[in-house]
Amino acid sequence: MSNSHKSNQTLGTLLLLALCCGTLAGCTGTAYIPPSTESAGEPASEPEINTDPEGVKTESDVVEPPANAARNNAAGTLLAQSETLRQSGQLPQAVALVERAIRLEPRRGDLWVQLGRLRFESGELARAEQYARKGIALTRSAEPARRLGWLLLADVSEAQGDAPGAQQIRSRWLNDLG
Amino acid sequence: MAVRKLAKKKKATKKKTARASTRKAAKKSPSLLWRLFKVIFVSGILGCVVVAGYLFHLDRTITKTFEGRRWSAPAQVYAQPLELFTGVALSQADLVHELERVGYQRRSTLNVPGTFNITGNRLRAYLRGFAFMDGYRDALRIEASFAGSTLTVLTADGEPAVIVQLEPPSIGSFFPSHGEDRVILPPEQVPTLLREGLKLVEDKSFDKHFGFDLRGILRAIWVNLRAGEKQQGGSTLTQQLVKSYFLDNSRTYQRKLRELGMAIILEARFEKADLLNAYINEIYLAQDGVRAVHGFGLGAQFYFNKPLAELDTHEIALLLTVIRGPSFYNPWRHPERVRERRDRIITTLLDGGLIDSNDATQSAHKPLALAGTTRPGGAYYPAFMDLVREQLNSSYPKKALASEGLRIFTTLKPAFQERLQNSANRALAQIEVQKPTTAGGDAPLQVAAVVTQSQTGDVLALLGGRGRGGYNRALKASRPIGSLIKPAVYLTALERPDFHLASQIQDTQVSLPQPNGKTWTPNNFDEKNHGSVPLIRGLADSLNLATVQLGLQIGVPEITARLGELVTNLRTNPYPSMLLGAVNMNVLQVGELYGNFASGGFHSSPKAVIAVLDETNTPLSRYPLQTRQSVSSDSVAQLTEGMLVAMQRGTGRSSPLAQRGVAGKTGTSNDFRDSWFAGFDAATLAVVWVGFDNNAPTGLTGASGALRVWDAFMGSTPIFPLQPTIANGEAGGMQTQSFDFNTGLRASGGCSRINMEGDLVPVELVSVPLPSEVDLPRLPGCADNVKPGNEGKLGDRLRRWFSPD
Repeated sequence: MSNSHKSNQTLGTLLLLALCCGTLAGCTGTAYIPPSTESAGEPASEPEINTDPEGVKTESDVVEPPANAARNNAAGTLLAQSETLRQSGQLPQAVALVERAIRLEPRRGDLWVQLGRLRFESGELARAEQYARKGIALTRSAEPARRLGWLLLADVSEAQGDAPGAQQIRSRWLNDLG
Repeated sequence: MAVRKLAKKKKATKKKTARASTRKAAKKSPSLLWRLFKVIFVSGILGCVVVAGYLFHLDRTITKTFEGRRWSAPAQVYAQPLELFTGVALSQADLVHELERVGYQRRSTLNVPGTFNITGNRLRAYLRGFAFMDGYRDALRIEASFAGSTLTVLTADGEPAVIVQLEPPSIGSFFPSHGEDRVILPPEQVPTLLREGLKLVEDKSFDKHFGFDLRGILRAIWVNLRAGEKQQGGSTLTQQLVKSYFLDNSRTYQRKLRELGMAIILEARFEKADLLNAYINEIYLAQDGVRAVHGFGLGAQFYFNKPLAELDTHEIALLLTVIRGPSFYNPWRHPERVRERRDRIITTLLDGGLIDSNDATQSAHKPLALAGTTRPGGAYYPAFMDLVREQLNSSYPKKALASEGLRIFTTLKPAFQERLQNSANRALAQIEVQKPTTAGGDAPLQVAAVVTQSQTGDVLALLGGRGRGGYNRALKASRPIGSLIKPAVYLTALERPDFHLASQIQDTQVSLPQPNGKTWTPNNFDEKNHGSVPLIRGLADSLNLATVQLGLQIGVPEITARLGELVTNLRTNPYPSMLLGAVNMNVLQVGELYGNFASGGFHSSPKAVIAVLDETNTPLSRYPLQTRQSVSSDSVAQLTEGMLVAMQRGTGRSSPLAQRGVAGKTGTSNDFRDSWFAGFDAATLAVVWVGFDNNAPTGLTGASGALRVWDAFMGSTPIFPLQPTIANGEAGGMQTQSFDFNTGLRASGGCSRINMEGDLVPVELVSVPLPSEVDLPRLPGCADNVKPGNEGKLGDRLRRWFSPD
């Protein structure tokens, strides 16, 4: 049981990593948030996340499609940075970076999912669950982050002792790879 | 009685002893000289003991004070830093405004931090180094290009940059009740000109003396005698420092002696450099209401809105002028007097070789160049500061906030605050012209408002009233919220399997016995009964009778309990009158309630503090984003539709933003005493209250009062139309259906119906998500031409809805 839990968790982490790489590939250069070149060099196995929160056309005077792509870049860079910190075990710093990213783009579900993953790893299950729920609520079905959100929810359920619930979520979302 | 006797006895004994000793002395009869010597010796020793004791006492007092004060400073509170990145909605003018807010100077060459310039659509700035909450960022040069209201290209030190923060403005500090406010500067942040200038002007022999300067005193006496007025003080900087510690202005020798003693002790105990730096951080420089500005660090902020390190020669000369008497040399009140002395000091600096003649000439030609006369030292945000204090109080006692030099990073966005304040003032002025009333007596119509980020609950702006400071209505004015309660009633219904937006509810007369024996007979605003109406109309048209009927059907205790989950720490009323908003809340609580809806079903308490750091920038506490799912996606989606329709065709339809994808609800309390509006787009939630402090009727509804302020605020930047947060395809249980708003019968465009007056009128079609299994009865005579393939997915439909036709 604990073995499968672990492997599922690892899978979730891998997906998250791939997600970050995908985001990172879009960034051209940085001043104070340098991208970690080793992960940027990896070919992104996942398509770039399509989280265009302003994708719906507005009636307002300013419509700025290129701006939105770049906007994702800023929050995406912070997300990638937080992932690097997470891997080196610097959870509080990683949380601070994701929170900063969320303040740039509060409606980006992948950011909330990452926040949930960080809380899960520091053992804050209740918080992790709520962040996962929020991440899911803010993503559309096509977004990889939605699957990550559900897998995080499965991890949380399992850690809370609800193995069947976790299994149910995983059987739905682990197969949903495209 | 007994005491007196005892005293007499003592006296008697004393006399006897005295006599005995005289006799003894007479017998031995030593020389007079010896006796004199003995007296002097003994009294000398006694005197030494007394003086030593006194000095010991002085030493303890002054050393303790000096050590304690050296690094003691009130907590500094910062706004959210502005994030610069490619694509951010920020015009060049906006950035200039933000740079000027933190005191940046426009210069042709950028050779010092705190400067910027503009060439065409390109803005260059030399950003200051700053200790942000996540660490120190060195000074750096940035370049930003703009297209309209968007930042399009950003570089930092010549390289393309992804994201750069501008240091946040300080929005206030928690100075102690005696009012002393300061920021502590380490020696390396003090310009040499100030340090050397201080000695030159105030205490020429500072580097040599032992705490006092006899020649200086004599010179001062001589100069003052010749001039016939007090032109020079004889006090050394050390004496002035001691004097300012104890704020004792009595002109007694005792005080002078005490100061002298303490000055000598300080000189003996501490380095000259430490004393000078303590002086620089301590000296009184200005009075700002109850706040006393101490130290050159805060002084520079107060007079020039700049860090001390960035002051020019003429500005340093002005501060050197002011230390002689901040009231006598108040540059706003006595510009001539200050100018004269400032220019004299510039000459002194030149004569002392601290500046060259070029600098002196230029500086003497500069105007006083003070920060805004109406708001010296930058804007203050009293209402928001109260909220910060409230949220910190549990973990940080007042004393810690006043003395530990904490750095508090908050959620406030000064640009939002500015917009909110301006919008409220503008809208209220218009309302007063259009609907004048004298019901408030001499007191003007008042306002309270809060703006939050919908997803995080971050308080971006908080308004406690119209004027500057004073009574903070945002936290303290708890008023009946009227119809703002209705979404909670309708939500409780929608969460039950037997209700949806098209459910029929009865807008009919109701009479309820009250605990006081009277009968409660609520009425609709238009004093009509509308019969059977769909649930969405009850909400959107804010029908009182339909709401009460619905609420009674669900149960008041159930609704009260639900409300308690949506707003924590709320005192609510268990009677049916709560269904129409006989519940008191302040704007923050209403913000908390509507945050559940604006975020797509998540509760977050309104939040003001992000992190607290100590004076060495070590994080003490971080306040994490808090969120908890409080409403299911399906229920919140239906409720939000209801509030979108309330804007489009209901009580909010007078808003110029009504058709722009915003959701909201009006509220009016009995006799028009309170005018409320709560509404949101996809990014921001704003809640506004308008009313009189004396609770007099305003004659305003929610729509004619608070909504006007909301319109002015929300209309001042682009709207982010609401999008479905509902998990389309995920929940699966909802489907969009079209029906007549008035009857709830399935219909399509172009159909007509017969209204209550018997007239044939066109249907008002609404298309909203309903549970898939709902099969609405069809409006008689209206063909069903709704194409299921087209209308099926909620997401698709909403996307089309928000597209401009």
